[in-house]
Amino acid sequence: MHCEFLLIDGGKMSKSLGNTYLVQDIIDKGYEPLAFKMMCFTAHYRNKLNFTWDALESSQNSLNRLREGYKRHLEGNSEIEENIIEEYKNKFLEAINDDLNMPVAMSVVWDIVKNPNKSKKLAELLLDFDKVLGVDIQKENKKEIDIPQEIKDLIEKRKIARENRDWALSDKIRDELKEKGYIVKDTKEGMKIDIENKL
Amino acid sequence: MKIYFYNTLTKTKEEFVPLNKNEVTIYTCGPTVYKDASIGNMKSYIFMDNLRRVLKYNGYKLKHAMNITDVGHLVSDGDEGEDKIQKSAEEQNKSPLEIAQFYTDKFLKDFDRLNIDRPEIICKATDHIKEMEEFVQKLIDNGYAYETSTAIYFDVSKLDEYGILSGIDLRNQKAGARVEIDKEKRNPYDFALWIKAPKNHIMKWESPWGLCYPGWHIECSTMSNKYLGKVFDIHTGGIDLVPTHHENEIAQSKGRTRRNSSKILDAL
Ligand SMILES: [Zn+2]
Repeated sequence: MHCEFLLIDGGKMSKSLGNTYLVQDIIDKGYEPLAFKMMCFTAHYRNKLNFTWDALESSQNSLNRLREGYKRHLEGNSEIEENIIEEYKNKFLEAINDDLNMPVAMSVVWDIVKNPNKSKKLAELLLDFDKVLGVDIQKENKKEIDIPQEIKDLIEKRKIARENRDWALSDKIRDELKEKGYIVKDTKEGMKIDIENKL
Repeated sequence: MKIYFYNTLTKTKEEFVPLNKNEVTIYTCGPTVYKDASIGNMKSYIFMDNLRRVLKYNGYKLKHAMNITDVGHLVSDGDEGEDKIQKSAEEQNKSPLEIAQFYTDKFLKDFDRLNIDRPEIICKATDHIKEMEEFVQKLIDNGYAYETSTAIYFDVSKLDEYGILSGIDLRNQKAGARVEIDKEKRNPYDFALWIKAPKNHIMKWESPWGLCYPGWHIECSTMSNKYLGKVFDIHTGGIDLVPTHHENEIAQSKGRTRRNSSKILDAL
Protein backbone atom coordinates (compact mmCIF):
# COMPACT_ATOMS: atom_id res chain seq x y z
CA MET A 1 0.00 0.00 0.00
CA HIS A 2 1.43 3.33 -1.01
CA CYS A 3 0.38 6.89 -0.33
CA GLU A 4 0.28 9.55 -3.07
CA PHE A 5 2.03 12.94 -3.02
CA LEU A 6 0.92 16.18 -1.50
CA LEU A 7 0.89 19.11 -3.93
CA ILE A 8 1.36 22.67 -2.78
CA ASP A 9 -0.75 25.28 -4.62
CA GLY A 10 -1.15 22.81 -7.46
CA GLY A 11 2.57 22.20 -7.93
CA LYS A 12 5.44 20.30 -6.41
CA MET A 13 6.83 21.04 -2.99
CA SER A 14 10.40 22.24 -3.28
CA LYS A 15 13.05 24.00 -1.32
CA SER A 16 13.69 26.52 -4.11
CA LEU A 17 10.02 27.57 -4.12
CA GLY A 18 10.13 27.99 -0.35
CA ASN A 19 7.01 25.88 0.08
CA THR A 20 8.27 22.89 2.03
CA TYR A 21 5.90 23.59 4.89
CA LEU A 22 6.27 21.93 8.26
CA VAL A 23 3.74 21.11 10.95
CA GLN A 24 5.34 23.97 12.88
CA ASP A 25 4.39 26.40 10.08
CA ILE A 26 0.77 25.34 10.45
CA ILE A 27 0.91 26.11 14.17
CA ASP A 28 2.69 29.41 13.58
CA LYS A 29 -0.10 30.51 11.25
CA GLY A 30 -2.62 29.86 14.00
CA TYR A 31 -4.07 26.53 12.83
CA GLU A 32 -4.18 23.18 14.54
CA PRO A 33 -2.08 20.35 13.09
CA LEU A 34 -5.28 18.28 13.29
CA ALA A 35 -6.82 20.62 10.71
CA PHE A 36 -4.24 19.23 8.28
CA LYS A 37 -5.33 15.73 9.23
CA MET A 38 -8.91 16.71 8.42
CA MET A 39 -7.68 17.98 5.07
CA CYS A 40 -6.08 14.61 4.34
CA PHE A 41 -9.51 12.99 4.80
CA THR A 42 -10.92 15.03 1.91
CA ALA A 43 -9.03 12.92 -0.65
CA HIS A 44 -8.38 9.21 -0.95
CA TYR A 45 -4.83 8.27 0.09
CA ARG A 46 -4.11 6.98 -3.42
CA ASN A 47 -4.93 10.39 -4.90
CA LYS A 48 -2.83 13.50 -4.85
CA LEU A 49 -4.00 16.13 -2.40
CA ASN A 50 -3.59 19.83 -3.11
CA PHE A 51 -2.57 21.93 -0.12
CA THR A 52 -3.37 25.63 -0.01
CA TRP A 53 -3.64 27.88 3.04
CA ASP A 54 -7.26 28.60 2.07
CA ALA A 55 -8.00 24.89 2.06
CA LEU A 56 -6.38 24.57 5.48
CA GLU A 57 -8.55 27.42 6.75
CA SER A 58 -11.65 25.56 5.59
CA SER A 59 -10.38 22.30 7.13
CA GLN A 60 -9.92 24.11 10.43
CA ASN A 61 -13.51 25.34 10.12
CA SER A 62 -14.65 21.77 9.43
CA LEU A 63 -12.84 20.56 12.52
CA ASN A 64 -14.48 23.26 14.62
CA ARG A 65 -17.87 22.40 13.15
CA LEU A 66 -17.38 18.73 13.90
CA ARG A 67 -16.58 19.46 17.54
CA GLU A 68 -19.53 21.82 17.88
CA GLY A 69 -21.76 19.22 16.26
CA TYR A 70 -20.59 16.62 18.75
CA LYS A 71 -21.32 18.98 21.63
CA ARG A 72 -24.80 19.81 20.41
CA HIS A 73 -25.67 16.12 20.19
CA LEU A 74 -24.23 15.60 23.65
CA GLU A 75 -26.55 18.26 25.05
CA GLY A 76 -29.58 16.94 23.16
CA ASN A 77 -32.33 14.69 24.49
CA SER A 78 -34.03 13.41 21.35
CA GLU A 79 -34.73 9.75 20.91
CA ILE A 80 -33.00 8.05 18.00
CA GLU A 81 -34.09 4.69 16.70
CA GLU A 82 -31.57 1.92 17.00
CA ASN A 83 -31.77 1.02 13.30
CA ILE A 84 -30.73 4.56 12.29
CA ILE A 85 -27.63 4.26 14.46
CA GLU A 86 -26.92 0.85 12.94
CA GLU A 87 -27.26 2.27 9.45
CA TYR A 88 -24.78 5.08 10.13
CA LYS A 89 -22.39 2.61 11.68
CA ASN A 90 -22.57 0.23 8.76
CA LYS A 91 -22.06 2.94 6.17
CA PHE A 92 -19.03 4.25 8.04
CA LEU A 93 -17.51 0.80 8.45
CA GLU A 94 -18.16 -0.05 4.83
CA ALA A 95 -16.33 3.10 3.74
CA ILE A 96 -13.24 2.65 5.90
CA ASN A 97 -13.03 -1.04 5.01
CA ASP A 98 -13.16 -0.16 1.33
CA ASP A 99 -9.45 0.64 1.06
CA LEU A 100 -9.71 3.43 3.64
CA ASN A 101 -12.21 5.54 1.74
CA MET A 102 -12.14 8.51 4.07
CA PRO A 103 -14.05 10.98 1.87
CA VAL A 104 -17.07 8.64 2.01
CA ALA A 105 -16.56 7.95 5.73
CA MET A 106 -16.53 11.71 6.36
CA SER A 107 -19.79 12.17 4.49
CA VAL A 108 -21.40 9.78 7.02
CA VAL A 109 -19.87 11.85 9.83
CA TRP A 110 -21.37 15.05 8.38
CA ASP A 111 -24.77 13.38 8.00
CA ILE A 112 -24.72 12.66 11.72
CA VAL A 113 -23.57 16.16 12.62
CA LYS A 114 -26.40 17.65 10.53
CA ASN A 115 -29.08 15.35 11.92
CA PRO A 116 -31.61 17.77 13.44
CA ASN A 117 -32.53 15.33 16.23
CA LYS A 118 -29.88 16.07 18.80
CA SER A 119 -29.16 12.94 20.75
CA LYS A 120 -26.56 11.66 23.18
CA LYS A 121 -26.53 8.40 21.25
CA LEU A 122 -25.32 10.21 18.14
CA ALA A 123 -22.66 11.97 20.21
CA GLU A 124 -21.53 8.55 21.40
CA LEU A 125 -21.40 7.33 17.82
CA LEU A 126 -19.26 10.28 16.73
CA LEU A 127 -16.92 9.64 19.63
CA ASP A 128 -16.69 6.02 18.52
CA PHE A 129 -15.81 7.12 14.97
CA ASP A 130 -13.12 9.38 16.37
CA LYS A 131 -11.19 6.20 17.22
CA VAL A 132 -10.62 6.03 13.48
CA LEU A 133 -10.32 9.75 12.76
CA GLY A 134 -8.14 10.67 15.71
CA VAL A 135 -9.01 14.37 15.56
CA ASP A 136 -9.87 14.83 19.22
CA ILE A 137 -13.55 15.72 18.78
CA GLN A 138 -14.04 16.21 22.52
CA LYS A 139 -11.64 19.11 22.55
CA GLU A 140 -13.09 22.56 23.20
CA ASN A 141 -12.66 24.88 20.25
CA LYS A 142 -10.30 27.73 20.78
CA LYS A 143 -12.13 30.98 21.32
CA GLU A 144 -10.69 33.66 19.08
CA ILE A 145 -9.05 36.34 21.13
CA ASP A 146 -7.09 39.10 19.54
CA ILE A 147 -3.84 39.47 21.39
CA PRO A 148 -1.98 42.71 20.71
CA GLN A 149 1.55 42.50 19.34
CA GLU A 150 3.03 44.00 22.51
CA ILE A 151 1.60 41.11 24.53
CA LYS A 152 2.73 38.53 21.97
CA ASP A 153 6.28 39.89 22.26
CA LEU A 154 6.18 39.56 26.04
CA ILE A 155 4.88 36.00 25.78
CA GLU A 156 7.66 35.14 23.36
CA LYS A 157 10.26 36.71 25.65
CA ARG A 158 8.94 34.69 28.56
CA LYS A 159 9.05 31.50 26.54
CA ILE A 160 12.72 32.07 25.78
CA ALA A 161 13.43 32.93 29.43
CA ARG A 162 11.85 29.61 30.48
CA GLU A 163 13.83 27.70 27.89
CA ASN A 164 16.95 29.26 29.39
CA ARG A 165 15.68 28.38 32.88
CA ASP A 166 15.76 32.04 33.80
CA TRP A 167 12.92 31.76 36.33
CA ALA A 168 13.42 35.24 37.77
CA LEU A 169 12.89 36.89 34.38
CA SER A 170 10.04 34.51 33.58
CA ASP A 171 8.24 35.50 36.83
CA LYS A 172 8.87 39.17 36.20
CA ILE A 173 7.27 38.98 32.75
CA ARG A 174 4.35 37.01 34.19
CA ASP A 175 3.66 39.82 36.68
CA GLU A 176 3.97 42.40 33.92
CA LEU A 177 1.42 40.47 31.82
CA LYS A 178 -0.93 40.22 34.80
CA GLU A 179 -0.80 43.98 35.25
CA LYS A 180 -1.91 44.33 31.66
CA GLY A 181 -4.77 41.94 32.24
CA TYR A 182 -3.36 38.70 30.80
CA ILE A 183 -3.11 35.70 33.06
CA VAL A 184 -0.44 33.14 32.28
CA LYS A 185 -0.83 29.49 33.16
CA ASP A 186 1.97 26.99 32.68
CA THR A 187 0.47 23.67 31.71
CA LYS A 188 1.87 20.39 30.48
CA GLU A 189 1.06 21.45 26.92
CA GLY A 190 2.87 24.77 27.35
CA MET A 191 1.89 28.30 28.22
CA LYS A 192 -1.81 29.21 28.25
CA ILE A 193 -3.09 32.78 28.28
CA ASP A 194 -6.38 33.93 29.75
CA ILE A 195 -7.82 37.41 29.64
CA GLU A 196 -8.76 38.73 33.06
CA ASN A 197 -12.46 39.22 33.35
CA LYS A 198 -12.83 42.85 34.25
CA LEU A 199 -16.64 42.96 34.28
CA MET B 1 -17.26 -7.07 7.75
CA LYS B 2 -14.77 -7.79 4.99
CA ILE B 3 -11.84 -5.41 4.49
CA TYR B 4 -10.44 -4.53 1.07
CA PHE B 5 -7.05 -2.95 0.45
CA TYR B 6 -5.30 -1.93 -2.73
CA ASN B 7 -2.25 -4.04 -3.48
CA THR B 8 0.46 -2.05 -5.26
CA LEU B 9 1.84 -5.22 -6.78
CA THR B 10 -1.30 -6.60 -8.36
CA LYS B 11 -2.75 -3.12 -8.92
CA THR B 12 -6.13 -4.28 -7.64
CA LYS B 13 -8.21 -4.00 -4.54
CA GLU B 14 -8.13 -7.33 -2.75
CA GLU B 15 -9.88 -8.77 0.24
CA PHE B 16 -7.57 -8.48 3.20
CA VAL B 17 -6.99 -11.72 5.09
CA PRO B 18 -4.12 -11.60 7.60
CA LEU B 19 -1.65 -14.48 7.85
CA ASN B 20 -2.50 -14.80 11.52
CA LYS B 21 -6.16 -14.23 12.15
CA ASN B 22 -5.68 -12.28 15.39
CA GLU B 23 -2.68 -10.13 14.71
CA VAL B 24 -1.80 -8.03 11.67
CA THR B 25 1.87 -7.47 10.87
CA ILE B 26 2.83 -4.21 9.18
CA TYR B 27 6.08 -2.64 8.10
CA THR B 28 6.35 1.08 7.33
CA CYS B 29 9.36 2.74 5.78
CA GLY B 30 10.11 5.49 8.24
CA PRO B 31 12.00 8.74 7.86
CA THR B 32 15.63 9.41 7.05
CA VAL B 33 16.37 11.74 9.92
CA TYR B 34 18.59 14.42 8.40
CA LYS B 35 16.15 17.34 8.11
CA ASP B 36 12.67 18.44 9.17
CA ALA B 37 9.79 16.32 7.92
CA SER B 38 7.43 18.35 5.73
CA ILE B 39 3.67 18.13 5.72
CA GLY B 40 4.11 16.20 2.47
CA ASN B 41 5.96 13.50 4.43
CA MET B 42 3.31 13.68 7.12
CA LYS B 43 0.53 12.91 4.64
CA SER B 44 2.03 9.47 4.30
CA TYR B 45 2.14 8.95 8.09
CA ILE B 46 -1.43 10.19 8.47
CA PHE B 47 -2.30 7.43 6.01
CA MET B 48 -0.32 4.98 8.15
CA ASP B 49 -2.21 6.15 11.25
CA ASN B 50 -5.48 5.74 9.39
CA LEU B 51 -4.59 2.18 8.45
CA ARG B 52 -3.67 1.31 12.04
CA ARG B 53 -6.85 2.79 13.44
CA VAL B 54 -9.07 1.09 10.88
CA LEU B 55 -7.52 -2.31 11.62
CA LYS B 56 -7.87 -1.75 15.37
CA TYR B 57 -11.47 -0.62 14.89
CA ASN B 58 -12.08 -3.95 13.17
CA GLY B 59 -10.78 -5.67 16.27
CA TYR B 60 -7.30 -6.64 15.16
CA LYS B 61 -4.21 -6.49 17.30
CA LEU B 62 -1.23 -4.97 15.54
CA LYS B 63 2.44 -5.74 15.35
CA HIS B 64 3.79 -2.85 13.38
CA ALA B 65 7.42 -1.91 12.86
CA MET B 66 8.72 1.38 11.50
CA ASN B 67 12.38 2.08 10.85
CA ILE B 68 14.39 5.22 11.45
CA THR B 69 17.09 5.53 8.79
CA ASP B 70 20.12 7.08 10.46
CA VAL B 71 22.83 5.88 8.07
CA GLY B 72 23.23 4.76 4.46
CA HIS B 73 20.55 6.77 2.64
CA LEU B 74 22.49 8.51 -0.12
CA VAL B 75 21.55 11.82 -1.70
CA SER B 76 20.52 10.17 -4.98
CA ASP B 77 18.26 7.54 -3.30
CA GLY B 78 20.49 5.09 -5.22
CA ASP B 79 24.19 4.32 -5.02
CA GLU B 80 25.52 7.76 -5.76
CA GLY B 81 26.22 10.82 -3.66
CA GLU B 82 26.93 11.47 -0.04
CA ASP B 83 25.18 10.00 2.96
CA LYS B 84 22.29 12.38 3.73
CA ILE B 85 22.90 12.27 7.48
CA GLN B 86 26.61 12.95 7.17
CA LYS B 87 26.03 15.81 4.71
CA SER B 88 23.56 17.44 7.09
CA ALA B 89 25.96 16.91 10.02
CA GLU B 90 28.78 18.62 8.14
CA GLU B 91 26.54 21.53 7.17
CA GLN B 92 25.39 22.04 10.74
CA ASN B 93 28.71 21.29 12.36
CA LYS B 94 27.32 18.44 14.43
CA SER B 95 27.97 14.72 14.66
CA PRO B 96 25.81 12.33 12.60
CA LEU B 97 24.49 10.91 15.88
CA GLU B 98 23.41 14.34 17.10
CA ILE B 99 21.71 15.08 13.80
CA ALA B 100 19.83 11.78 13.82
CA GLN B 101 18.68 12.18 17.43
CA PHE B 102 17.62 15.80 16.89
CA TYR B 103 15.46 15.06 13.86
CA THR B 104 14.07 11.82 15.28
CA ASP B 105 12.77 13.74 18.30
CA LYS B 106 11.24 16.41 16.08
CA PHE B 107 9.65 13.80 13.84
CA LEU B 108 8.00 12.00 16.76
CA LYS B 109 6.84 15.31 18.20
CA ASP B 110 4.95 15.89 14.94
CA PHE B 111 3.39 12.43 15.37
CA ASP B 112 1.99 13.55 18.72
CA ARG B 113 0.76 16.85 17.33
CA LEU B 114 -1.11 15.03 14.56
CA ASN B 115 -2.43 12.39 16.93
CA ILE B 116 -0.62 9.70 14.95
CA ASP B 117 -0.73 6.36 16.70
CA ARG B 118 2.87 5.15 17.07
CA PRO B 119 3.90 1.76 15.70
CA GLU B 120 4.60 -0.85 18.36
CA ILE B 121 8.22 -1.11 17.21
CA ILE B 122 10.37 1.83 16.15
CA CYS B 123 13.82 0.63 15.12
CA LYS B 124 17.00 2.46 14.18
CA ALA B 125 19.27 1.25 11.39
CA THR B 126 22.45 1.77 13.41
CA ASP B 127 21.16 -0.64 16.08
CA HIS B 128 21.05 -3.47 13.53
CA ILE B 129 24.44 -3.40 11.84
CA LYS B 130 25.32 -6.96 12.85
CA GLU B 131 22.03 -8.37 11.53
CA MET B 132 22.48 -6.51 8.26
CA GLU B 133 25.97 -7.90 7.85
CA GLU B 134 24.54 -11.41 8.31
CA PHE B 135 21.82 -10.68 5.74
CA VAL B 136 24.46 -9.59 3.21
CA GLN B 137 26.54 -12.70 3.93
CA LYS B 138 23.46 -14.84 3.36
CA LEU B 139 22.83 -13.17 -0.01
CA ILE B 140 26.43 -13.85 -1.03
CA ASP B 141 26.13 -17.49 0.13
CA ASN B 142 22.91 -17.87 -1.85
CA GLY B 143 24.59 -16.50 -4.97
CA TYR B 144 22.65 -13.26 -5.23
CA ALA B 145 25.43 -10.83 -4.33
CA TYR B 146 29.02 -10.13 -5.32
CA GLU B 147 31.89 -7.99 -4.11
CA THR B 148 33.63 -5.21 -6.03
CA SER B 149 36.39 -2.87 -4.92
CA THR B 150 33.80 -0.38 -3.63
CA ALA B 151 30.80 -2.35 -2.42
CA ILE B 152 28.81 -5.56 -2.17
CA TYR B 153 26.18 -5.49 -4.90
CA PHE B 154 22.92 -7.33 -5.38
CA ASP B 155 22.87 -9.05 -8.77
CA VAL B 156 19.41 -8.35 -10.20
CA SER B 157 19.95 -10.69 -13.15
CA LYS B 158 19.57 -13.59 -10.70
CA LEU B 159 15.90 -12.84 -10.32
CA ASP B 160 13.31 -13.53 -12.99
CA GLU B 161 11.09 -10.75 -11.88
CA TYR B 162 13.14 -7.76 -10.82
CA GLY B 163 11.06 -4.65 -11.47
CA ILE B 164 7.76 -6.38 -10.88
CA LEU B 165 6.43 -3.75 -8.51
CA SER B 166 7.06 -0.66 -10.59
CA GLY B 167 6.96 -2.35 -13.97
CA ILE B 168 10.57 -1.67 -15.01
CA ASP B 169 11.58 -3.80 -17.96
CA LEU B 170 15.25 -4.62 -17.61
CA ARG B 171 15.79 -5.40 -21.30
CA ASN B 172 14.58 -1.96 -22.35
CA GLN B 173 16.50 -0.26 -19.61
CA LYS B 174 19.79 -1.87 -20.55
CA ALA B 175 19.86 -0.28 -23.97
CA GLY B 176 19.63 3.21 -22.57
CA ALA B 177 21.50 2.53 -19.37
CA ARG B 178 22.59 5.45 -17.28
CA VAL B 179 26.25 6.38 -17.06
CA GLU B 180 27.68 3.99 -14.53
CA ILE B 181 29.74 5.25 -11.64
CA ASP B 182 31.07 1.82 -10.78
CA LYS B 183 32.42 -0.01 -13.82
CA GLU B 184 32.56 -3.23 -11.83
CA LYS B 185 28.79 -3.48 -11.58
CA ARG B 186 27.47 -6.41 -13.60
CA ASN B 187 24.09 -4.93 -14.43
CA PRO B 188 22.97 -1.32 -14.45
CA TYR B 189 20.20 -2.05 -11.93
CA ASP B 190 22.45 -3.85 -9.45
CA PHE B 191 22.35 -1.95 -6.21
CA ALA B 192 24.70 -1.63 -3.25
CA LEU B 193 23.94 -3.70 -0.17
CA TRP B 194 27.06 -2.86 1.76
CA ILE B 195 29.36 0.00 0.94
CA LYS B 196 33.09 0.14 1.58
CA ALA B 197 33.54 3.37 3.49
CA PRO B 198 35.72 6.06 1.97
CA LYS B 199 38.18 7.60 4.45
CA ASN B 200 36.00 10.63 5.09
CA HIS B 201 32.88 8.63 5.89
CA ILE B 202 32.23 9.06 9.61
CA MET B 203 29.82 6.21 10.35
CA LYS B 204 31.44 2.88 9.47
CA TRP B 205 31.74 -0.56 10.98
CA GLU B 206 34.28 -3.39 10.92
CA SER B 207 33.03 -6.26 8.72
CA PRO B 208 34.36 -9.24 6.73
CA TRP B 209 34.77 -6.83 3.79
CA GLY B 210 36.58 -4.12 5.74
CA LEU B 211 35.22 -0.87 7.18
CA CYS B 212 31.78 -0.48 5.68
CA TYR B 213 28.36 1.04 6.12
CA PRO B 214 25.01 -0.43 5.06
CA GLY B 215 22.99 0.54 2.00
CA TRP B 216 19.56 2.03 2.61
CA HIS B 217 17.54 -0.86 1.17
CA ILE B 218 19.16 -3.64 3.21
CA GLU B 219 18.15 -1.84 6.39
CA CYS B 220 14.45 -2.27 5.81
CA SER B 221 14.69 -5.91 4.72
CA THR B 222 16.79 -6.74 7.77
CA MET B 223 14.53 -5.04 10.28
CA SER B 224 11.27 -6.29 8.79
CA ASN B 225 12.71 -9.80 8.81
CA LYS B 226 13.88 -9.48 12.41
CA TYR B 227 10.68 -8.05 13.89
CA LEU B 228 7.96 -9.46 11.65
CA GLY B 229 9.48 -12.57 10.13
CA LYS B 230 10.05 -13.63 6.52
CA VAL B 231 6.51 -12.84 5.51
CA PHE B 232 4.17 -10.23 6.87
CA ASP B 233 0.83 -8.72 5.95
CA ILE B 234 1.22 -5.12 4.86
CA HIS B 235 4.09 -2.96 3.72
CA THR B 236 3.41 0.77 3.52
CA GLY B 237 5.26 3.87 2.41
CA GLY B 238 5.11 6.89 0.15
CA ILE B 239 4.55 6.33 -3.58
CA ASP B 240 8.04 7.72 -4.30
CA LEU B 241 9.58 4.64 -2.66
CA VAL B 242 8.14 2.19 -5.19
CA PRO B 243 10.60 2.29 -8.12
CA THR B 244 13.87 1.86 -6.23
CA HIS B 245 13.61 1.26 -2.52
CA HIS B 246 10.73 -1.19 -2.44
CA GLU B 247 11.77 -2.92 -5.62
CA ASN B 248 15.11 -3.60 -3.97
CA GLU B 249 13.54 -4.70 -0.70
CA ILE B 250 11.59 -7.35 -2.59
CA ALA B 251 14.75 -8.49 -4.38
CA GLN B 252 16.67 -8.83 -1.11
CA SER B 253 13.93 -10.79 0.60
CA LYS B 254 13.66 -13.14 -2.36
CA GLY B 255 17.40 -13.60 -2.46
CA ARG B 256 17.52 -14.45 1.20
CA THR B 257 14.73 -17.02 1.09
CA ARG B 258 15.75 -18.27 -2.38
CA ARG B 259 12.11 -18.07 -3.35
CA ASN B 260 11.44 -16.29 -6.55
CA SER B 261 7.80 -15.75 -5.88
CA SER B 262 6.54 -15.89 -2.38
CA LYS B 263 4.08 -14.48 0.05
CA ILE B 264 6.47 -11.56 0.47
CA LEU B 265 5.06 -10.15 -2.71
CA ASP B 266 1.54 -10.15 -1.35
CA ALA B 267 2.76 -8.05 1.49
CA LEU B 268 3.05 -5.04 -0.73
ZN1 LIG C 1 12.27 1.14 3.73
